[in-house]
Amino acid sequence: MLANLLQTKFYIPSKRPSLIPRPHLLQKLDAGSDCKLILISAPAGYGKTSIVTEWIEHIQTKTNRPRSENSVGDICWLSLDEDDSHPQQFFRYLAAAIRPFSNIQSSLIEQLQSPQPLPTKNLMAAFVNDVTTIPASFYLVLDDYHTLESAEIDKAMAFLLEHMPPQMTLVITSRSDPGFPISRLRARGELIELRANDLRFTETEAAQFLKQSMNLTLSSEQIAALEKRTEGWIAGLQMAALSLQNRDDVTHFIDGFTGSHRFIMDYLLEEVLNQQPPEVKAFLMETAVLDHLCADLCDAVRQSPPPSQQILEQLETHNLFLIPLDNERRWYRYHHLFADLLQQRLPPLSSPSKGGKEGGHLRASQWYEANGLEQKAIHHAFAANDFEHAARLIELVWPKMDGSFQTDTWLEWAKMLPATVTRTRPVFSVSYAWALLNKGKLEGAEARLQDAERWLDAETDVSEMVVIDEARFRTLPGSIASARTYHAQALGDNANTIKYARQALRLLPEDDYIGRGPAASILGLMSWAAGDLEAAYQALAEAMNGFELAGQITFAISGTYGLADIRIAQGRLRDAIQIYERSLQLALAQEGASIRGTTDIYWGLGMLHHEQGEIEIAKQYLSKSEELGDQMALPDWPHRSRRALAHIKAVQGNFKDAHILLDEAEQLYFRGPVPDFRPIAALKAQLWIQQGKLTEAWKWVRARGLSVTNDLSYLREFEHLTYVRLLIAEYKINQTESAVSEAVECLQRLLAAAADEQRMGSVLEILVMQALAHEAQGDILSACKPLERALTLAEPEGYVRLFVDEGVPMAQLLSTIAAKKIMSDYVGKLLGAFDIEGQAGTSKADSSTGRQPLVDPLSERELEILTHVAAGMKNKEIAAQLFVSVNTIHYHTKNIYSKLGVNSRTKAIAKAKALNMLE
Amino acid sequence: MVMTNEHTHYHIKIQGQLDDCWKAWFEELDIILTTDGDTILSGTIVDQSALHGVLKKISNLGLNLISVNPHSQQNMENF
Repeated sequence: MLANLLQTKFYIPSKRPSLIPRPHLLQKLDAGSDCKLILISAPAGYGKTSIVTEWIEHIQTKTNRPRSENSVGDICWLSLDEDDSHPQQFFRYLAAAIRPFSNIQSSLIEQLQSPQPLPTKNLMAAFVNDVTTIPASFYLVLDDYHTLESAEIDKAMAFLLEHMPPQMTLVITSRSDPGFPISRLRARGELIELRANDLRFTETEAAQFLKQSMNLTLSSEQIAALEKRTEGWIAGLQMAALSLQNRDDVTHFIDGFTGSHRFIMDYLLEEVLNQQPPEVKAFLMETAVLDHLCADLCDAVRQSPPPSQQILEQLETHNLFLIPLDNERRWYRYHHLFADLLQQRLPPLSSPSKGGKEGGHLRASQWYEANGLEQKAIHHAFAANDFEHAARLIELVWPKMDGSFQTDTWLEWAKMLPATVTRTRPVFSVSYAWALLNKGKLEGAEARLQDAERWLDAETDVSEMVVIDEARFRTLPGSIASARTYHAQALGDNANTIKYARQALRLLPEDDYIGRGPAASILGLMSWAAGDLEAAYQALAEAMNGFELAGQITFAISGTYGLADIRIAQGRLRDAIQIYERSLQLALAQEGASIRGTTDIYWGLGMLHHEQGEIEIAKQYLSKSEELGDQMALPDWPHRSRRALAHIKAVQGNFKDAHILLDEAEQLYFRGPVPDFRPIAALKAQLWIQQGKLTEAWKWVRARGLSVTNDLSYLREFEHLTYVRLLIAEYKINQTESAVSEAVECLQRLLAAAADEQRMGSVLEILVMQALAHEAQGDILSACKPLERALTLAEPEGYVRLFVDEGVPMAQLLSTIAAKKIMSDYVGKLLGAFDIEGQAGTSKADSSTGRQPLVDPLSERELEILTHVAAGMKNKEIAAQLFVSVNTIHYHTKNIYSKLGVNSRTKAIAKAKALNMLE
Repeated sequence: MVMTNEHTHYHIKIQGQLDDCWKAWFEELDIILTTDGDTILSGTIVDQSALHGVLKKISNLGLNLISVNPHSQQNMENF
């Protein structure tokens, strides 16, 4: 993840020997260790970086500790440039900058590997998290912050300053104030600033600099004149000092310079250049286009003697604005201001020959390419206006960029190329289409695919075609079909999605796992949505297996819950458990790395064991899942977990929380490729039905256009089942006869459809509801028939909650079946589950049941509930307190009434008091 | 500030005097020297981001920016 980063960007520049000591500024900076931000904001040439490096040396001498140790005075350095304006790249460097101090695994690096690019706020939150693990206080220096042009990064920095852990102090040097607000920090005393007025040389400092550092003998009038002319601008004074080296006519020069209005640098640069030997002057002009310099690169760019290393060291010695970027005398850069001044003097870019500036850039590009630094190579290719060469580099770098989630940067390059260059390149065009698809730009993508396809036609004359990446050219037809699959799917065009997915799978080589994966996944998801579960399972399993073979473990694991959900829809709970267990092993086998999706796996296992009534095992898995949390979850976890939690809250009768969770889940939902079988609106309707708020539920029915005569599909099954629940409730509450007969009719059709597609999970749910519909009508005999069938199907898979969640009516039906001695073991277990639910959390001693003057004494649990009833608690509140469903409380209170021989709460309390049963 | 997307004529005043050789560097804006020893960069700037680009170049050279004024074509004569 952090490969291919320029190490020179982390190098703390060493203090320049020519600098004069500036103790009053160091003192000011020392006060910053308790602040959040030290901001050094001044125009070019005011010695911003120099003062920071001097201060770093100062604190390191003061604390007398080497900089490799984690201790007070630790510094992380990051030199920024324009390329870091892409948040992904900025955060990669940020993660790497604090790497040496952070002993544990970086959560920022984890987040950067997410298949979907995350919001910068999340990335910064992960960075803050990483910082909290650093044991001692430290400074992070961001040098040249003004080069970033990203409102997103500015916003993230504001977030960082709001949440900055106490061990960290941020140091920023910038030519302009940063794009995030600093006035609040200033007001709170959390900001130390050095600005142009602090940094400019005073007359005393100017004198000290000119005399001691530059060895000039000048009168105090001359010094005063130079200071006035340059206004203490350090770069100006330094240039003036360089111009004065070895000069006989000092007075004349100073008079001319101070008397002129000319831009200081124009005036002085000429003087400085004229004083250099011809080979040095030539070197400066030839290498001005480079933002980083090393001898080897300079040799390649210059193509002329003498050797560059010698000149570089000479420039460094003579303070000619050359700054070392490491301590091996390998990499350097010019002071940015100086580089700008040199470049301005180069002949314009448009000159026809490839000499001068363009030639320099081109040779730099070739050198960087040969040395494996593609980003720099592309940068110089563009600067050389050589689009052919740039296109070549950009085509080759795509797989690497795509694999490290750097589509944004790649796309920006691609857009800078003229169409005449890109359209002749089919491999490039297909990458371009993929990059656009990744960003949701659908129209542009199709045009790029057609550009590519043109060249694949046997009739086409291919003499104009340009292919750099031969290997990818061979798989192009498959890749095009694959891109079209994605495209059609994003447009919601199901027929074409399936068509292109099949085409892609036919065209792509068997062992192109990465290529086949997305097509197979989409085909799987489409078949799933269409209700063809077996085909869906096969396709998804192929995709996931392929990702695993290709070593893309996160992708392989991301399909787990899809595969498990399909098995659950088929009524195969045990297979679903196996799928999760296998993925868990795979995730845990990844040495050292925690895999995203592990949270989801534990949750899935917990919910399946919960369904099977394995309460203790379920609890263990669920708490494990909670422990891992968002960090180890797939991106849509915040949405899915709220949905699942809402269900649990509803079963406990806590409808208020359930509604809140569903509202949150709705906001967090982003339409992905996974079909939504349980729309949130329908889940909300179920809550209303459980609450008896039927009017609200009917509104939803009308909005969705639901009726018993609707065409049925798997995608809408849940809505129809919810509708049926409403019809049954309508009959129960308002005795609407037509409602229940409609419910029965609808269930009959739903059952046929589900059975037809072998969706046994749905079949079970429908059978249970048939039983409940008949039970509501008081027709116990008819109710038992579907229920018995459900029990036969459910027993081998160990379903429990399917029945128990339905509460009292189901408990009564099961008691009837128990009396018939049908499937006694299983039915006994289910009835036991109602009891376990009733007894969970019991704390009172057994003895209390002994002193009840009742024929049929109240159970421990019933007594407990009665106490709460007497205390004035509502059923819902009691349910929440005892962690059971509201239906269970209904079930218990009904039993309590019958044991006490009463028919209301008040009478029950009165009777219990009379019998001295309440303490 | 003129808030339209139409090309606007600007006068950008900088402290000190720039040589004419900076014309290409500053996107072919005219370089006009004033009598009080300053420089005005004058010309059409296509949009806001182009304007910011010019201002950035001024900042990169460490030049002191004095003022930025848009001029419509009509009142050019008054300059």
